[in-house]
Amino acid sequence: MSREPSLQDPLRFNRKTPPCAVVIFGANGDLTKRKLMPALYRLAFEGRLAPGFAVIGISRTAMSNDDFRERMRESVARYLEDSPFDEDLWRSFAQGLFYMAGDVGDRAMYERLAGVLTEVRQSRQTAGNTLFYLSTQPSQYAPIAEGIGAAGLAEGDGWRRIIIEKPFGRDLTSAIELNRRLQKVFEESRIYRIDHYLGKETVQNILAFRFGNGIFEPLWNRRYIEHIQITAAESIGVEGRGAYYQEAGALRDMIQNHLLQVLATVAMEPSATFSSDAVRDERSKLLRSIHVMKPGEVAANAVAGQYGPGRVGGRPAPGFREEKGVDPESQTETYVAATFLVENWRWAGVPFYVRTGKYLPKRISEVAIQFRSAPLSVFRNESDENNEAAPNLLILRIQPEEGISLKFVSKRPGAGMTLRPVSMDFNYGSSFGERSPSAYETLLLDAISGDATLYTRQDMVEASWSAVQPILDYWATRKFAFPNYEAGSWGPAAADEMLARHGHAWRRP
Amino acid sequence: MTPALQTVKPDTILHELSELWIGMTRPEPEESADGNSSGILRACAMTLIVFVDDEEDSKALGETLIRIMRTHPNRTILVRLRESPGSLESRVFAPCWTPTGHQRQICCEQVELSVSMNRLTDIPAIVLPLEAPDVPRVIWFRSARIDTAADIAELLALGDKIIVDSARPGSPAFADMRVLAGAGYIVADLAWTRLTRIRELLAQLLDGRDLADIRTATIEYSGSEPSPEVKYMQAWLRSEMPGAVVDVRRADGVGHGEISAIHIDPSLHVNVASNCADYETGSLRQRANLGECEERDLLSEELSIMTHDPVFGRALQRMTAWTPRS
Repeated sequence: MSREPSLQDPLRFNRKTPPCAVVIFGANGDLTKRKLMPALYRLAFEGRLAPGFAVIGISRTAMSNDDFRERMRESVARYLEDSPFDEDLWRSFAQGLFYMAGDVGDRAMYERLAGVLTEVRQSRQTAGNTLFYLSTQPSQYAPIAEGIGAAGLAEGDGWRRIIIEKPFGRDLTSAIELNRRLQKVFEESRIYRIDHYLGKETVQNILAFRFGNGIFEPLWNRRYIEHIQITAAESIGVEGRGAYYQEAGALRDMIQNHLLQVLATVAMEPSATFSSDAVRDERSKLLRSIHVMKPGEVAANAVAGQYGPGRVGGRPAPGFREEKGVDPESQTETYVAATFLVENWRWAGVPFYVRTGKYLPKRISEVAIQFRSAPLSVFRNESDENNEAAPNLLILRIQPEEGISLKFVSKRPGAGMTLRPVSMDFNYGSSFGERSPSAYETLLLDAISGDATLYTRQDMVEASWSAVQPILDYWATRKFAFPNYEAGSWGPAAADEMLARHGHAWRRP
Repeated sequence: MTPALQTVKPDTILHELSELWIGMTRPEPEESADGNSSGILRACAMTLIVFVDDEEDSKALGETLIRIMRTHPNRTILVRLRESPGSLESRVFAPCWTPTGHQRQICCEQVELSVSMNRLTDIPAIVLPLEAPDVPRVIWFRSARIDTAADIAELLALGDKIIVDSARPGSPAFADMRVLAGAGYIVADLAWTRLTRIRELLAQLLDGRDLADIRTATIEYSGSEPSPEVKYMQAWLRSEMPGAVVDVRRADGVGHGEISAIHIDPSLHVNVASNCADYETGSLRQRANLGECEERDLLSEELSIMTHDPVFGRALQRMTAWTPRS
C-alpha cells in the first residue's frame, strides 16, 4: 500500500493547534494574568501554537496594544511556572497580542470587535477560527454571548467556540437559564465549560489507572469496596476573596463542580471509546445516578462548617467572619462534608464521602478507596486485639505529591505473627520526571483543537446541580451556629459523627 | 572501588544493592508506623546500560546520567572501558534527589563496572542478571573504544533498544545501523534526535501544503563538512517530499557542519540558531523556540520511545545516497 507523503511524526512531535484568534473578555483580570496568558505563552514556548495565532484582549480599562503587551509580559514573567521566560520569544509572541477597550454591555463594542477580527484574520492568518474566552463575572456570560451572536460573530469562516468558567449558575434553575441563553447563540458542541480540576494530569490519570489496567476494575464495585472518601483540603483561608466567597460558599465553589466531577471520574463506567462524547456520556450517566436527597435526609448526610479563629502553621489565623469584606454574621459555609450515594448496580450501598474546606491542617486533594476487610481475622489473638488485617486502602493523590498508594498489612519480622500496615507507593513525578502541563495549558490546547473530553457538558452541569440542590434548599432555611471549627483543624465534629453513624471514620491524609 | 579482579559476581552486586536500600530505608525511631513517613522512594522504570571510555569526564557524564534519572528513573549500569589489560571492578551507589515542592526523596541506583577491553566478553554474563526485571533495557553506546571490539553481538543482546550518536567518533556506520534495525533492534541515533524540533517546525509551517507540489528544498550548513544532521535532514526531506530536489549547500561562516538555514520553494525560509529559529512565510516573520538540545535532552527523548520509529527508519534507508554541493 502506498504511503501519503507527510512531514508529521506522531511519535515525536507534540500535538499542534490549528490557527486561531483567542478573544479574552476580562483581559485585565486576575485569571488572564495568572493563568491564561502564562498558559498561552507556554504553549508558544513549546511550539504548540500555529504561526497564525492571535489574542485579542477586551476589558473596560483604556490602554494601547503596547500597554497591554507590557502588562501581559510582566504577568507571564511573574506567574510562569516550571519554565524559563525567554525575552526574544516573548517579543515574537507579543506581536500577536491586541487589545480593545470596551463595555461588554455596549453593542457597538462587538461591531468594533468584528473589525478587529477581520483585520487580525488577514495580518495574522488565523483562518477565521475564533475562540471566545469569558473570563468575567458570571452574570456577564449570557449578555456577552448574546452580544457576540447579535454582531454575527458566532458564525462565519472557520470555527467559533466559547469557553466559560465556573460557576455555571448559582443553582439548578439559574444553570438551566444560563444554558438556555448560551445555546441560543452557540449550540452545545461549541460551548466549553471549563473545570480546571478535570485538566489536572492526575485526575486524567484516574481514567488511565482504572481502564488501562486489568487488575483493578474487577474489584471496583460494591462487592469489594466499603466506601470512598474524596478530600480537597486547603490550608489557606479566603485570602482577600472574602466578598466573593461569601456569595459562593464551599458547596457551590468546590462540591457542585470539581469534586462531583472527580467522583464521576472515579465511579463512571468504562466508555466504549475515548472520544469526547463517549467519555462525557458515561460521566453524565454517573452524575444522574447520584441519589437526590429528600429534605429529611439532608441533615444526616451533609455538614456545613465555618472556620473560626485558630492557629495555622504556628501562626494565628482569623475566623472567616473577621475576614475583610465578610459579614460578621455570615452564614456562608467554608467547609462541607457530604455523603452521596450512587444508585446503580455497581455502587448501590457504597457511601461516597466528600469533603472540602478552607483552613484545614494541610493542602491535599485525594481519593481514598477503602476495601472491605478480609472475611476472617485469622491473626487476631487475645493478647493483641489490634493484630488483625486492617482494610486495604487505595489512595489516588491528586495534589500535592501526585501518585497512588496501596496500603496493606505485612508480617513484622521476628517471632510470632505480628502485623503492621505498610504502604506501596507510586509517585507520579518519580516515574515521569517530565514537566506536567498546567491544567490551563491542557484545556486551552483541547479547546483550540476541538476536543471537549475534559470540558463539562450541559447535562453534567444540571445533574450535579440536582445532586446539591436539596442541600442548598435545606441550608437556606437554617441558621447555623457558626463558627464551628477552628482554623487549622480538620473541620467540625459533626463531620466525624456523620461517618461514625456508618461505622466509618475520615482518613487523616 | 571494591577491588575484585576477576571476581565480580552479579550476586554480590545485587546483595550490595539490597544492603544499600535496607540502609537507606531503615525507619528513624520518630517516624510513624503507618507508613506515612516522608522517607525515600525507589524508582526504576528501565535499565540503562551505558558504555563509555574510561577517560570520559566522570563529572559531566555523572550529571547527565542523574538528569536522565529524573525524567526516566532507571537502574543505570555504567560500563567504563579501559585499554589496560586484566582489570574488572565494580561499585554500587544510589543517586537521590527531592523534587521541588515534594517531601519525599526519590532514589535510583547505579552500578558501575570498570573493564579492560580484553575482558569485554565477560560483561554480558555480569550485566544480564543485573538488569531490572520486566522493564525495557536500553544500551547507549557512547564509547569510541567499542568500535574496536571484536564481536559485540552478545552485548547487543542485552538491550531492547540501541542508542548511538553518529556525530561522535567511533559510532557505527549508517549501514551497520540498518543491519541492526533489520535484525529487529530498535535503533536510535542522537544525530537524528537533534533534528526533532526543527523537523517539527517545518511540519507545522508546511501543514496543509500538498508536499507533492514542492519542487525544491535547500539545506545550508556552516563549516567545512556537513554533519550527520545535515545528511539526515536531506534524507528525511527526500523521503517525505518525493517530488522535490533536495540540495545541500555550504554557507558562509564558521561552524561544525550544523544546519544554518533551510529554504523550501520560494515561500518558506528558516534561519536556524542553536536553540531557536527565525522563519518567514508569506507576510509572517516569527521566532520559534527549538528548546534545549543537550545530550541529556536527546537521550531523554529517545528513552520515551520504545517502539520502532518508522520515520527514522525511512530516513536511515536513504542515508547512502548523499552528494553535497558546495
